[in-house]
Amino acid sequence: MTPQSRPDRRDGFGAFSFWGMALAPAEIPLGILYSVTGTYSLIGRACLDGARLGLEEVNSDPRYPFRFRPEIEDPGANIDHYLAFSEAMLRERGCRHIIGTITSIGRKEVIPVIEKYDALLWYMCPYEGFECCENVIYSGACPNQHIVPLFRYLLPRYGKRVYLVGSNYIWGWETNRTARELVQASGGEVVGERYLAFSSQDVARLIEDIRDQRPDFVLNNLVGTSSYAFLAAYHEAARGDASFAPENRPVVSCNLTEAELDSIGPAAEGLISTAIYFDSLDNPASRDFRRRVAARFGAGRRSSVYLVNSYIAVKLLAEAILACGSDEIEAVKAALFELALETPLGPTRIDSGTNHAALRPYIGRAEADGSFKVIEAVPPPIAADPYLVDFDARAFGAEVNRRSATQLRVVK
Amino acid sequence: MTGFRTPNFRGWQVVVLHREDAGMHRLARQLERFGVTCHFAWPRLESLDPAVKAVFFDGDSGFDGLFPWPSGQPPVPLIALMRSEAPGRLEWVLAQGISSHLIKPVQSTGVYSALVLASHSFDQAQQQQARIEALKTRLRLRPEVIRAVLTVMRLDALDEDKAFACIRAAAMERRLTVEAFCATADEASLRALLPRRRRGGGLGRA
Repeated sequence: MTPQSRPDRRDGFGAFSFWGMALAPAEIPLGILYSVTGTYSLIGRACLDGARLGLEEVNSDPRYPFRFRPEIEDPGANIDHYLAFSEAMLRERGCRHIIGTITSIGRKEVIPVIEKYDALLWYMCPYEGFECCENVIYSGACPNQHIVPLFRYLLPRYGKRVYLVGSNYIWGWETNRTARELVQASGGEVVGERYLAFSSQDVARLIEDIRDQRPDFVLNNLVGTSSYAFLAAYHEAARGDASFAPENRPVVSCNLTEAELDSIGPAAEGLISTAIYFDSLDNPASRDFRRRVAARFGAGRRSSVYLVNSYIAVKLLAEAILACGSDEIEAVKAALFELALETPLGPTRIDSGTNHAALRPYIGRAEADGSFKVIEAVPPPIAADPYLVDFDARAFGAEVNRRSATQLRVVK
Repeated sequence: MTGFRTPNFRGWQVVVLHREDAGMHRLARQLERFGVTCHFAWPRLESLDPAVKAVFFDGDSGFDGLFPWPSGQPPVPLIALMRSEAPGRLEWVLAQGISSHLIKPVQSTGVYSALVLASHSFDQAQQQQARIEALKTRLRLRPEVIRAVLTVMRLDALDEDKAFACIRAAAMERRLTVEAFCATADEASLRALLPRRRRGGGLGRA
């Protein structure tokens, strides 16, 4: 059955097929759901800009016999808005695809609606894993692509006494739980674990507890303004207490990127973060992407994994639609799984078994100028393992301890 | 806070005792993502391969005699697949000794937690059952303990606390429960527990 002969289920809305429609480019509504206001607005803006850039490129490229019509909504980091906005996109505006959500609570709020309308959510942020929904494409890093490589790098070099902080929701809780498992498997110790309410900037007690516990490093899973307040206070503490200096006791992260560094300022210097893309990567694909970003947003604009990955999500969707001739989700998914699209990340593949992207994690250190210096790269892309099925804590611990013997730095 | 180890089902085999349909294929697909292999069977499971670690079954159409084990005594965790919530169906499902359930139509969300909860509660129930059996045995042997305590008290004119302490020390030394030790101890072996100078019974006290 071709897409043309399929009965039109929604009176033309979303039931697009361009085979045999050569006269005018078809218009495909595309939902874009990012919080560009609220506590993590900097991330939301990076995501939205990336999606816009991808959309503009598709719409101006004659190779695609269709145009995307953006349907943009801003839930403002308010969990009450996700359901209504996504439902309006799917029911009233004919969208079959939504690119969006940043936090896991946002994503989990949208998924039931996405399933109800049998649509596709393109989720491209790092997240805590343990999810695999048929109606979601996951192109951000999951734990075996972020916290595991980050701790494999850190534990042998900085030591195994770790302090965990996070915002009080699933990302912080679960990423810290995985971190605890990694630390314990290595024979290390979690010397403290504390959470702050969303948007809370009450970080003084955290700093004092870290001063008392003297961990080797601090994993920061706070988000947005809580994270900025914490980093500022930590930086301030280093003035009078050298143990807080980044070379002695770094703050590390799985989700802090260039999107936020400029606003954090000097307090971020020395922070160690893992991401599947850094703006400072030096290869033909990343150089090309930097040129596009500069042309669209100005020479001073630094991109980040958020910007690049939402851009890629739009390009992947466009390419899959081009390949299958429809925006119908089963056809799009089937076409998507066959693609190996050249993107700023290199050839990008989505695995049909998990709906997740294979990704290459990097580890970077924040520099004074707001960029990340890449200090470690895992050569081949790692297949996503959202349920940590192939993860072996004992083997991880053994590897950390083998490497500790040679790589532990001298503690000042 | 202690570390909760990430549940891992890599290499597991499970049986899905249900008509094969699109929903069951979704279930199998989701299980595959946890490293679990699915075997379908319906309308009856003739025997359970020892390699099978859990059984999902149709709670809506299940009937007595569906399983190859005594009713209500599954050797592996049982997970009911339910659409009906009629009390009669729930009663039948509960009687099978389920460890968790999953609402039909099966979605990708829920399968992992159903498996984690089922394996956890099954293990917990097994451990509790073993503990109950052990306690029942000890309870049954209580009269043996009383007999032994009375014997030691008679042999050495000890009070009951001291007699019991003497017996408990002997049991611990032999790595037995007090009850198991008492069940095998006769008067001669109890006499052997007492200090040498007292064993004759006629030497009097210090």
